[in-house]
Amino acid sequence: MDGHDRRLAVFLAGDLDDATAAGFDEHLISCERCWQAVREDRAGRAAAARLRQPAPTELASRVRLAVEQANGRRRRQPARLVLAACVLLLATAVAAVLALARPDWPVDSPAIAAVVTAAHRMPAPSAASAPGPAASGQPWTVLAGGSHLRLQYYLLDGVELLVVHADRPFAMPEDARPVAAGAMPWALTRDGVTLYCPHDTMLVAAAIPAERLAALARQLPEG
Amino acid sequence: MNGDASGPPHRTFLDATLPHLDAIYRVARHAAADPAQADDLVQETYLRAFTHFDQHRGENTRAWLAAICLNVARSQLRRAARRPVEVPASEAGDLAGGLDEVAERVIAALDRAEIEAALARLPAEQRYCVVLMDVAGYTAREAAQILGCPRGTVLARAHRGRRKLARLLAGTEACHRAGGDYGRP
Repeated sequence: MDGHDRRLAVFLAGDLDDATAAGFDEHLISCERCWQAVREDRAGRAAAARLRQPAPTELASRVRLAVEQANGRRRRQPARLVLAACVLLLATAVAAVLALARPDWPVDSPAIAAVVTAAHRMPAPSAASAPGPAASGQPWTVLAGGSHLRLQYYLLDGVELLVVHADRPFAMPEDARPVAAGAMPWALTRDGVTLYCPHDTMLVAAAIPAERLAALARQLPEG
Repeated sequence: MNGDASGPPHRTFLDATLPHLDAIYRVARHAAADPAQADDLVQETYLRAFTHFDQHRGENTRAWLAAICLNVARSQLRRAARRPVEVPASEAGDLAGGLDEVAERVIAALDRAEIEAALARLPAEQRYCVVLMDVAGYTAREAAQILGCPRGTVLARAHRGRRKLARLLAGTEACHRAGGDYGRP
């Protein structure tokens, strides 16, 4: 757009002051180019103005309905968020309860569980007697998980022990640890009771540390 | 603006914006990829405006709505990868001669569909200026605010767009040229 057209656009917009506009009117009489531009501008503007039409009557209702629906969705959104938060909170609480209720050790085999139960029923140690292991009460047998277990309480160095012999090897629980590095015997703790396995078909249980239990177990009679 | 408004927010919004429905419809009709989708464009404009109503400071709601409408239309055009076929500047300029009164009468006799078709062929920046000012009735200052460009630029683009529109429409019919200085000052 050259200066001519720019001045024309300003003239057509009514931006010229009266004196300048009057001078431009005079100019249009003699300038065919500007006159043509003015006519085209007016014709184009008139044609465009013919496109002025009101919005369809139903459009206002449609827009109103759409906005009201959007408003309803917006109002419900906080409620949905609160509900989602409640569900999340509940799920977290349930997970926490389950985690607390779950024992911090793996589920034991029936044989191990039977040994732990019997160890909890162990009689209180009686007064120290002769040196060496002394059987307390009578031995008894339990069938657990297909294994026959023979159980016997002993008193040794003032400590009550439970000695268990099985007809099948005890499976080493996941959380059991070797008593000595690289050694076969293993030990683990269940609910305050230490289980010591000197070989695969024998278990010794007592409420004492694993190392002391291992030392006492060495004094016990085999099978 | 809207923090002071009383009543449900959508009622406040509708009260503030529905009076401008005709203007927005006119903008939408010529900004939409397809004029038949103008109603959809208007609805989308109002929904988007409602979403952002709390950010609107209440200054010239009519211009604010038109700016949203054009933004939505541009996005839709981009998505559809469809643009009206624009007339190269040379094509409209090559039409022999200018308008005479017969051509003006021919233009006056054209129906809206022909005018709309010619308008759709203008370059977008000229079409938006013509639509905003001559179809929807916005001032040059409002159009400048809506389009984000200086007022002088809007005036120049509108002028070029009107002239091109007139030439396209004059070329639509077989015009018998007749001399005369009809309407000359």
